[in-house]
Amino acid sequence: MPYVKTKDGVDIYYEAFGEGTPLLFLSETACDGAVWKIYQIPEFGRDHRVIIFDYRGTGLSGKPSAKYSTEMFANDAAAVLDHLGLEDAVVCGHSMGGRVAQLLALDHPRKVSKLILASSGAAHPGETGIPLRIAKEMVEMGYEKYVREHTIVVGWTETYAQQHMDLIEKYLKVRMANLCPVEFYFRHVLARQEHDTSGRLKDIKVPTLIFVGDDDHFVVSDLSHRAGTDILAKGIPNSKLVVLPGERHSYFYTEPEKAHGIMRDFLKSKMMQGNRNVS
Amino acid sequence: MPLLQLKDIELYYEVHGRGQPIVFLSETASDGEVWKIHQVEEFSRDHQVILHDYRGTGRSGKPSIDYSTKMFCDDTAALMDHLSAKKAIVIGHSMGGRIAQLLALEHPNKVDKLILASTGAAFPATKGLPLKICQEMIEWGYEKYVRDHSILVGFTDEFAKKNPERVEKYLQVRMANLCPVEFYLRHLIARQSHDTTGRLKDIRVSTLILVGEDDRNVTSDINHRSSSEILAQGIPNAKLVVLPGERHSYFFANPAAAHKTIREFIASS
Repeated sequence: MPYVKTKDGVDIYYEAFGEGTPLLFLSETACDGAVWKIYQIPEFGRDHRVIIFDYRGTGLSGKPSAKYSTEMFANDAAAVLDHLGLEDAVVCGHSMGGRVAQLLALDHPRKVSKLILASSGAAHPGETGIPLRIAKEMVEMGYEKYVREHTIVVGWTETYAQQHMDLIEKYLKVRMANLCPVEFYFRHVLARQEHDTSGRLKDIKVPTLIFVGDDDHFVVSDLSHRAGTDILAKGIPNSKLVVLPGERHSYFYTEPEKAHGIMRDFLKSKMMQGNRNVS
Repeated sequence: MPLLQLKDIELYYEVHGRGQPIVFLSETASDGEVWKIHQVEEFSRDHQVILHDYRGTGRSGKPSIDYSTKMFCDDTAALMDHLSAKKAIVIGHSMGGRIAQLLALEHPNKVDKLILASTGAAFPATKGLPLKICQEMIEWGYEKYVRDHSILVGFTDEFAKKNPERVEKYLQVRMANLCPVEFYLRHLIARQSHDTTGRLKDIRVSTLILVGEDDRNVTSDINHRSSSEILAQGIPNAKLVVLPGERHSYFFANPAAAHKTIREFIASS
């Protein structure tokens, strides 16, 4: 089992597939790396060195009962890349993973050649701490049922869910298979809510693809991903925003072709081969 | 049903007896019923005992908005205005003690004496919902959490073993009208945000500070035993009494010592 030990002694579980330009995937809040194996590893493992890992607190990685932060997750990602001897990776972060990806570009510039920020944002300006709505629904519904139902309502439109429940179930099987203990779900939520790169977006110099579902309007605390994404596109100098019609939050796991096509265009685009954060 | 129409909600209250008003203020997310187990009987003999259900609890209105201890304080002040209750003795337990401090600070004419029981001025390190509480509520279920937490925090293991019927009698009242979890959480956020640390010096009335010597459970970042010391040091005219062998809920299962201390304080100050 491949592990990297971080400076603070946490074992981070990772996997790497394929050969080519490094491509690092970063998952959403409290989600391990296994979700990328459904579609992204088969697609990009053909011509990239694809790296996934389990955040601390999730999956097969260590789970210290301590305060977590997106900086910490970025440092863990950097430790995995260091361990594999990789630099200049394309970093694709989904949701909270997009917040971690921003910090990786800002604080570990040698590691990042391009950013893909999917359904993410720079901050939750209105709410720190555990959002009441999440705590309330988890108490009322139970933890597993909350994660399952929240994932569905945030992930797909009602129309899509009615027509493609088989595809959604295929994803949920992976998402729910190794659900972290509720303590670590909350530690991830706290890390996400405290993340704030609003003032640093201008310093992200690498070519950045931003995408978001045009129906990703769900508000868990204070800002939807649709709105968070517009802030990213305005703030990051060398960025391009693509809105995916008819999609909510979890297109990667049921309608991957749409996202993959846009990613492939971005990866081969000459126009976007700009400056890395270090010269 | 005595209901007072406030600007945005109806507030349920009860009044028992005659004499100098005593206002009782309950702990986090607890309605006023708990004072009817022992305190109403004891103090209504020679006082006008006033209790009410906080917004979000019991029979009072439950708007889905942000709550604060200032809001609870203003609700209490409005009730006292309605009853023309002035120069009251205000007894606040736990979160109720935080509200009592604000009442003395913001409405000094309404307060003659303060009794701050098992309370504090702030949770300096934890704003927002404490992770431990959320985790336990989800893992155990809401009702079981409130019940088990009330026992653990409230009574020493020895007391709970020897006096299960007294603990049960209290829990029956405490659990009878448990507020929906949303409002328990709204109360928690209000409590965690409360901070009167810098204003304790401005509390001028005679203040009795009561705490169980074993009230050391930490749900977020400071226990009631330690925070009572901070109150005693910060409030100029304060007297600290530590109740031996007690944790948090002596009022509801072993009230004799607390009542005696309160009676002596009222008579002497």
